[in-house]
Amino acid sequence: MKTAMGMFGALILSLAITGVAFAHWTDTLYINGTVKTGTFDAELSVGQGYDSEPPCKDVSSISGTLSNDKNTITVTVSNAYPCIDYYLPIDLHCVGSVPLIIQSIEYNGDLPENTTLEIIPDPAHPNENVIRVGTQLHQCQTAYGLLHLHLDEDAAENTTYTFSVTINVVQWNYYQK
Amino acid sequence: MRDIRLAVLPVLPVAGMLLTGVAFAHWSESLLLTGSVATGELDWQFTAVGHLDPGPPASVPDYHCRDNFEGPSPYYWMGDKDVGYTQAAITNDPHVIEVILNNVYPSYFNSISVYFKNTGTVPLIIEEALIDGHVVMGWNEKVRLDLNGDGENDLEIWWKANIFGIQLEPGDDGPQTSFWVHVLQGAPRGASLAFTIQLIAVQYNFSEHPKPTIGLNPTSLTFDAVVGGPNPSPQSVTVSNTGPAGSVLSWAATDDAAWLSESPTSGILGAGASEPMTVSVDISGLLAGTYTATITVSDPNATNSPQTVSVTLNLQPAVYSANLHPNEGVDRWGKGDKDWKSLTEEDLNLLEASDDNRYRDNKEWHEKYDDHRYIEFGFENIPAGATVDNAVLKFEWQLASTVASARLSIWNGSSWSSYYDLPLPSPNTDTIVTLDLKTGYGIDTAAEVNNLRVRFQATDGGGAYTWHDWVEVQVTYTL
Repeated sequence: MKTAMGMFGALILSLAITGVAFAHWTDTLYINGTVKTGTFDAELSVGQGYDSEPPCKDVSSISGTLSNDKNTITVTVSNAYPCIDYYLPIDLHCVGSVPLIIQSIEYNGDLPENTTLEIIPDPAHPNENVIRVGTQLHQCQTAYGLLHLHLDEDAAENTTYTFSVTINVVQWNYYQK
Repeated sequence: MRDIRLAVLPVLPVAGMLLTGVAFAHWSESLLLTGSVATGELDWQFTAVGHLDPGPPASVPDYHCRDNFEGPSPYYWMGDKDVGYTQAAITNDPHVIEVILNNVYPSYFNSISVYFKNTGTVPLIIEEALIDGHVVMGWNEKVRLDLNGDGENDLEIWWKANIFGIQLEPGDDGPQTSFWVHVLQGAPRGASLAFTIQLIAVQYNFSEHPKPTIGLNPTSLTFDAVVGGPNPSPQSVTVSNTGPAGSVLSWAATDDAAWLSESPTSGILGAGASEPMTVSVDISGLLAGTYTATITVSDPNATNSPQTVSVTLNLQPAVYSANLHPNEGVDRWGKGDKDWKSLTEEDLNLLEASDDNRYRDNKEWHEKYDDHRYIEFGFENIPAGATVDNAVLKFEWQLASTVASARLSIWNGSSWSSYYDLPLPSPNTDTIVTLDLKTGYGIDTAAEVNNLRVRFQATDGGGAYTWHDWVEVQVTYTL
């Protein structure tokens, strides 16, 4: 009986010793991660407005004022009359770290019939990005455009019309054609 | 318990979608342009109306003219009867003038003038006039009116104003606009004749009227004058309307120099017409130099407005010649307090001309030059601002036979020059010495001329005198 107990103890001891030996031949590896997201941000800027009036007949004007958050331009057209083209340079800047794409441009307002309200390429910036649907901007890139307004004879005298133009930009890989 | 869990299950996806939605909102952006468009106003109004034949109490004798306003001059004249009269007034609608001829008769004449202005905010162009609905579009155009519809013309009207195609800026007054009225044989008896006048104006960029073109000839002028002299003669620039038939040039001239003026400064020209504009220059107060200016002739409706005339004024300095005589002097013969005399008026007169009337020095000269023995002359002045072109000393003198040497020195206001040894002439014979004071002695400013002094010294072994006939500084200078 003592012999059997001794053998059992020896076995346990040898197993214990063997177990220690096994522990020396295994390892555990860890991956620790940090995810920092980018920024998505766009801003506007506005230039000096001009129109197609001859120099000696400069009675009307267009101008724009940029909001503090640079997300809104307030456009004012004064003493306007038919058949004059009013232009206001506007720039769209990608100031975030994630590329953006112009998803849509929406025009609204109570402008009279046959009024032209559009954003067109700015001839002052040829071969540059243009503010139009589908234009993609990377960080620090700019798209250029001209807000163009033209009243037809349908415009009434001594009247104030209002309009809005909304430029929707999305993360580049969320752009829906 | 089971029912509650089932109720919560649909909420979880909604909450998840909301969270996802928030995430999407962060990754898109809307930029906004908000605008207002305030339109202007096209408007004009009559401002006044006048004519030759008002009614009582300011009534005047009636005027008359021939049919069709025929000549010869005078085209109309005042008669000796005062029975008809005209009422002309702006109606409640300021765009309409109503004219009423009362108790008039064939050959009755009146000239009516109307005035108007652009009361809107947009430049406008007068396109046409409506006389009782009849369109008048041209200068010198005549219309006949059958006011009562009986088939016979009652009035004839001659439009005398060249206003069609003229552009008026907001707030601008239009030119005086006149037309003649003549009552014809077809006028009804016992009736007042009434008609209205209106003008049709359009936004300037909608006008179909031919546009004028400014012609200027010449386009540059040069005036030459001398400081202090008369103004140069005026010159003329021809202003013309080289635009197509039917165009009207309403020109105005401005300039950018106080010394420049034009007359007239505005005018109205039909196609092909021209008129002189006189350009004048006033040089008063101007210094010598070259001045430039620009005359700008403009008509906001012209195809080539503005046009310019460049003007150059060459103002030459005035050149003066002056013969400066001694106006004071000192004759000194020793170092003592009393060893000198001032040259008197009589002495100075002797020096004024080469006339053999001579001043003799007061004491005999000594054997050696002495700083206390000399005759010294001061001279008249030239204007302080003058530029000295030339300065020459004329010194005529004669000596006794014993004079051994003589010399001159020049004071320029700050120092004496080195001595100029005079060549000795034959005794008792006048000789004239000429010294170029500018090149030889640096006398080239008005200050130096005005501080100039000439000192004469001589030596004489026998103690004789010198005689001085003429001392003069001849200066040419400019201002």
